[in-house]
Amino acid sequence: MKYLGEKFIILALFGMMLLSFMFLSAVESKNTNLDNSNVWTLYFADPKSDSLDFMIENHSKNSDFRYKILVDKKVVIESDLPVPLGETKNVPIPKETLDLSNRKITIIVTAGDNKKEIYKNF
Amino acid sequence: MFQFITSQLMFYVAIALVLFVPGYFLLLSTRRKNNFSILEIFTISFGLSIIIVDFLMIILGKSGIGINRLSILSGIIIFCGICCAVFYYFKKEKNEEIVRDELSKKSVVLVLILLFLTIFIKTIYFQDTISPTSTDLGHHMYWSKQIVATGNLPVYEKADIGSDYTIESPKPIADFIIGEHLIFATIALISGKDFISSFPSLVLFLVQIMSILAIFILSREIFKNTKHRDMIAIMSLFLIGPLYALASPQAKFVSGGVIGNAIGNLFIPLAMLFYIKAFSEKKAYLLSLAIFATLGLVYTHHLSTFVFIFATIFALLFFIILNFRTIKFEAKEWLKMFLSPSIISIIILSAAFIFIICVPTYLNSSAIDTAVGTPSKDSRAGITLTQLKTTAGEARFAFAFLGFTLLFFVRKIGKYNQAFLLGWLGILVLMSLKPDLLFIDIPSTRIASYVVFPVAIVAAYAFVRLFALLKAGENKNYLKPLFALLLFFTFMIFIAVDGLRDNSQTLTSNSSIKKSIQTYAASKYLSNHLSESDIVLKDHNYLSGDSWIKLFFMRGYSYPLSRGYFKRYEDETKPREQCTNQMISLPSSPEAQKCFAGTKTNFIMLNPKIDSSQFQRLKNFWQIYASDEVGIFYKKS
Repeated sequence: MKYLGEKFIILALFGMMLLSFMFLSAVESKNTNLDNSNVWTLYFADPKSDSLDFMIENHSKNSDFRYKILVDKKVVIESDLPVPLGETKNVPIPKETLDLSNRKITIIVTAGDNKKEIYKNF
Repeated sequence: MFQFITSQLMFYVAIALVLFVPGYFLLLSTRRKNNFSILEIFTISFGLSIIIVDFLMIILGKSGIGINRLSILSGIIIFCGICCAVFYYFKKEKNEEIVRDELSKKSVVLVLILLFLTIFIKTIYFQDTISPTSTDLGHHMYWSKQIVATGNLPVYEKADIGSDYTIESPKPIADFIIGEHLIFATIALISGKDFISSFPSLVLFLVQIMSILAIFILSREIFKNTKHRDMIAIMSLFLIGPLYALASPQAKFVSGGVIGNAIGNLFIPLAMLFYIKAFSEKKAYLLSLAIFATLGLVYTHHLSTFVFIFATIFALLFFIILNFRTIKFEAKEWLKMFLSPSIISIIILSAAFIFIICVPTYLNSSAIDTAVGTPSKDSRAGITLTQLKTTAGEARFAFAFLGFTLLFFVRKIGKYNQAFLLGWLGILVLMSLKPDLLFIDIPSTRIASYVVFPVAIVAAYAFVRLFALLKAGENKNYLKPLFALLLFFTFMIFIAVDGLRDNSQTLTSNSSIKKSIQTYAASKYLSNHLSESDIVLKDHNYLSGDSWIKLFFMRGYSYPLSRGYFKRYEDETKPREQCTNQMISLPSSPEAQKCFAGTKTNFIMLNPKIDSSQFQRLKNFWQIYASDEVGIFYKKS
């Protein structure tokens, strides 16, 4: 076999870097996939308006959610909501059914031991 | 899976086109490619490609053609075409026999083993840090993304909050240099890769491996007149590759996104290689390449340029001292080379580029004033010898000390080689320990990180020379072979343990990517709901990956506003606005109220575990977003 010398170093270096890059790219792809992070997020569909519609974005293993709507500290709506992994559910809240004047409307969502809340003050 | 494979393929094609092809064709056009070894051609092509692409992008931006995929691809193809045309037009009829000084088989095997270990160790480290989280990298990628988004060269400016609590007009900043951003923009344009991915770190990883190869070929060049040239180069590779592979300025600079320094660490040895070859062989084309490499350095990193200029001046001083008797003759030879048409042309072109076409951001009096003068802080007053030893690596430092002494008395390595090596190492030690003697006002630990490369080369020389000296002749040894072997293994173990322990201390499983992707998700949410008049303030202290938030908005370097590290608000040497601190820490205070009114900040991004209680007490703030690591509050007007 012909002695390739330094060409062989370059070819081997290409091969090693290629393997390393592919491995690291795959690791990064996995790390930045929210579905692997076991987290879920709660937010208002429209953060600036008076709309109380909210969304649950689920990237966790738990798909059973329970939400409560509180007017000041009183629970007025309570319900279960299944949100499968990787999905986002929009929960519309008709404002007309609630007395909003000078009140704090809080949305509390729980999934297992994890609880999150968002609110708007009127 | 298919998308992953195609995106990977496009990335590798972009790397080849941007980081190898233009440099190779430039080398081809010199018609002296065969004067370099294959490994030198490979390494030099990489370095030259970065510089060529930088200048192509600058020309495209300044000429008004605009920067997009078509223009940059056309630019690279036209450039390579011109180089090809020059090569074929001036090609000699007679085929010259190529005589290259190749590595032996054993040397190739050793080099491969060392490269494998280097890449393996760094890959293990990067698996926890390859995801985009680092602050500096986030800042740099903003500018690269701006180039892609606007098709223009970036204008480095930022807007601060003034004393009247309003956001001032943007002012120029000298912290960024254009060469730090252009190749990333080019690769993103050609490959379509998202900046918030592994690609910036992978490119920096490649730059670092090539800079290690640059040290290898530089060692081979410096010691080419010695019997143990390849052994010294392989030992340099051992000291700079798998050992001390992770601490600054190695893998940590990659994961930390210290782009300018990382590219500067490639250009410095390449420029030195060209200068040493040029002066030793008295060839004008090599000097042209050296000036070109220096120009690339000028456009990439101010600190590296500063260090390189000092190293060259010191090399000249050492040369004059060690060759005093022949200095007049040498000066005449240098003048003859500098007055050649190719050199005069490149100097004029370089000056035109620097002073007319695209002035580097740091070439202004205020930026120079901050770097030159009596050290203004303790951190710029020099480091201790112990700190320098730690930075260089104790084992490397010990041998480098011996090697530096030996180099004064050596005669066979070549006067330019000797002067450059002594100057490079000598000035870095002086700049690190006693910067006040040179009127340098730069963080001393940053300067000290440059010492690693010359220390590795000089230490390698000392190690090999020591064992060569023990063997006086063919059949004569000063030390019994068994003792010499024991001594060899003792030293190797000392060096390896020190280098690998340094690696183990840096290798930690401390990935913040799980927190950072929540920051990115929150940023994406906000970017979908912001209007022109909305102002966002985020926290830097407790939010992971926060410097990448601005890539989601692309509304200026200072958008969103940022509460920085708390100690910076108390730094008396650099007074700053207090609004960004007050608005998050004490939102109900009178000072904060003035800040909210003046800056019109109405969205706050922070870590809810640390900073939410002060907002939950206030009726004019809504919490509109909640995840484990990020909370967003909206200030209702």
